[in-house]
Amino acid sequence: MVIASDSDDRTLVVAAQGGDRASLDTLLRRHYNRIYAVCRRVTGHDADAADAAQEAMIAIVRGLGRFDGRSSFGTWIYRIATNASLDELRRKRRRPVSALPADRDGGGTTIEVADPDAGIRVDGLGDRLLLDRALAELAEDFRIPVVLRDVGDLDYAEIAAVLGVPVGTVKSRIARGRAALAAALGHDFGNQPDPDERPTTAS
Amino acid sequence: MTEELLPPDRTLASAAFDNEVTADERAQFETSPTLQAERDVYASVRAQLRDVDVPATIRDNAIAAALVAFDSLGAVGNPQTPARVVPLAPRRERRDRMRGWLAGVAAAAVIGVIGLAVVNRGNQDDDKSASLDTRAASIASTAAATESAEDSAGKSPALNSSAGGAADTTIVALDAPAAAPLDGRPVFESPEQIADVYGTGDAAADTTAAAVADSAAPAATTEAATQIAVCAADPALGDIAAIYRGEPVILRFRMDDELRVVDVIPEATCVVAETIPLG
Repeated sequence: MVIASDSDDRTLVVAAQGGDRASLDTLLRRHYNRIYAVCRRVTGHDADAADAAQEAMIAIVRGLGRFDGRSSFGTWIYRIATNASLDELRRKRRRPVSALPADRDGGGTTIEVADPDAGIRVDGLGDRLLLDRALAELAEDFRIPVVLRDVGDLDYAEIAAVLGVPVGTVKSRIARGRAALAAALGHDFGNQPDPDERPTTAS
Repeated sequence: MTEELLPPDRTLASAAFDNEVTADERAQFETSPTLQAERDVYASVRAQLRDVDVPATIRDNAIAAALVAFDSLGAVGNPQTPARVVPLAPRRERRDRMRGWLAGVAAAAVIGVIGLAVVNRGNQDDDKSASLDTRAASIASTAAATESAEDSAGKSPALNSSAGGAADTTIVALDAPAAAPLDGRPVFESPEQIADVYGTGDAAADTTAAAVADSAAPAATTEAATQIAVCAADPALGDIAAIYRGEPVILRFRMDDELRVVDVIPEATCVVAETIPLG
């Protein structure tokens, strides 16, 4: 049986679960770009996003037999993509760091060996780097719901299911995350959280 | 910052932007130019967030790797063959029943072939037939020996491809929740056993899989050995709860420079103890 490439996700999932490689290929191609985009915005780094997205794709394939359709396919795969991205961040944090020789003041500066871009100064380098920095400064609890909503296109209930938190918490975190991002990107409007309330990584 | 929910008026513009508001809230939003301006800012931020370049080669490589993983699950090199997903436990029981049946079939085949060879021995003109009989006897013996070897090696039969050359291909649903009882887990004593069960095996016939298999298989890396893992099997990520060398472990699959590997994570330490390449 040939499954049309414009079939809905559920049809393709069932066919792929039945061993139809072409359906799986269609399914993966349909969702890859958004999975990558989610990974890119969660990890903040192109190479990490590529690794995380590939891990996610493999995990999706390996878990496909257990996907029972109770949640939407999108919810399921973005949960996997989010987990893969967070795993990538954890791996990145565990990579060895080395200290630069002490400067004249006796202080030292550390850099991440595996991430030569980590020390890039973003001032004046354009919107994309500014956005990366703004996202990096946003705590994961706020960054991930915003990414899942604005990039993954999940609704609040789906995000709540992915993160295991109440819908009200999702609503609040998205509002705070967005406000913090907007402020970091130079947008100015009223009704923003006070600066000391902003959900940064340090908070 | 504490995890306090914002009051509704502080989330209204954001929620309205997402169509996650009540009719009353919608009406309130529609009458407020300030909230609408805030919504416009959020729309701008969303557009920036979505503006991600996806390199085509990265996408193609990721999808190829995922398809290799798919092939390695059991649909190897035969996309036309229908496959089915079955839970592990019933498959194991069925395989055990099949094993006894196959042993009987193999024994009957050996006897039959020997009988044919005796009959054909009298036929001086049929050298070809004798040759074929010898090959058939060899194949039957090999099948019996393979079955016997699997038994003695203690390989988990439920994790192998279909028994006895069954016409269909099976994707094994590896049900390994974090709370799986110890006695329900597959048992391994060596890296080779794990690679045998979860490796791609004949998938090397596939060109992409061959490229993976041809890669140098690295030993456990220093980095992997120092990784601290999340100490729970995550079925959504394909983790397997298993027993390895008598110890409960999590088997976590990943790609390492295009080579599929599995990290062995003892549950007692939550630290990757060994990384096994799955060629």
